[in-house]
Amino acid sequence: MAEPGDVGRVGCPSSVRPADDIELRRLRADRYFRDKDVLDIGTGNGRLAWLIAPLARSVVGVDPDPEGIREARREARRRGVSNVRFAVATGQTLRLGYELFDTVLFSWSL
Amino acid sequence: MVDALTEAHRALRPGGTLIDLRPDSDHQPRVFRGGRAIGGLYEQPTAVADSHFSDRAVARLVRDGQLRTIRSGHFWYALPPMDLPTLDGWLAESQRLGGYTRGTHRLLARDPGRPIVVKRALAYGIYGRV
Repeated sequence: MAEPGDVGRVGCPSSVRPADDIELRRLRADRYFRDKDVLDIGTGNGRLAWLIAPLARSVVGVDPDPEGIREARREARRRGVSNVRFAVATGQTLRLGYELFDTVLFSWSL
Repeated sequence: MVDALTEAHRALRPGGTLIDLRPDSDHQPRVFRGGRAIGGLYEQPTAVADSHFSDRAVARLVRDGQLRTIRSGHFWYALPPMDLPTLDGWLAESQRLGGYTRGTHRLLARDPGRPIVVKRALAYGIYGRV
């Protein structure tokens, strides 16, 4: 069941997601992000990418929603983060090449 | 989804990790008021079917020896308390959720101003690329 403090937020029109840190905290997956090259499929506005970036060597966030990616890029500039990039793409249209990432995260997108 | 998984598998280095995190269609959202469970919400049949399709796609990669399961499970989280009109509005916009389970809305409507808490389950799977 939900633990104290695991309160989400009402936000997306199609779904209601937990507050970002809940997902990663409950996933207990920091070891799969630390010093890794990470691909975040379904990144949205980068909500999880921002939490992964301080751990990771690099993060690439992709999402089919151009507005989400625009917002993510604006936020990247605002934060001055250098190890995060964003691109408009779906999982199906990714043409990334072979063996580029240590971790692939499907975030509400598979 | 199969294409996305194939691309993701190809983009992973050997020994890399694939993490799948999404709403848990096997544990439907629950509705609480005053700390008591009083009903639930249900997912659209298409959302459930999509979720099961994804489950099978991942299972196929595991069965074929391309991925190995490191761990999997689900966890619950609570949404912020809301009133009935807010919950109605959210459900009306949701592409995933279809509505209230039988009797839930009737119980909620008796006292529409009291805060409602919805708890949802997220399923996760962590897999290693073989």
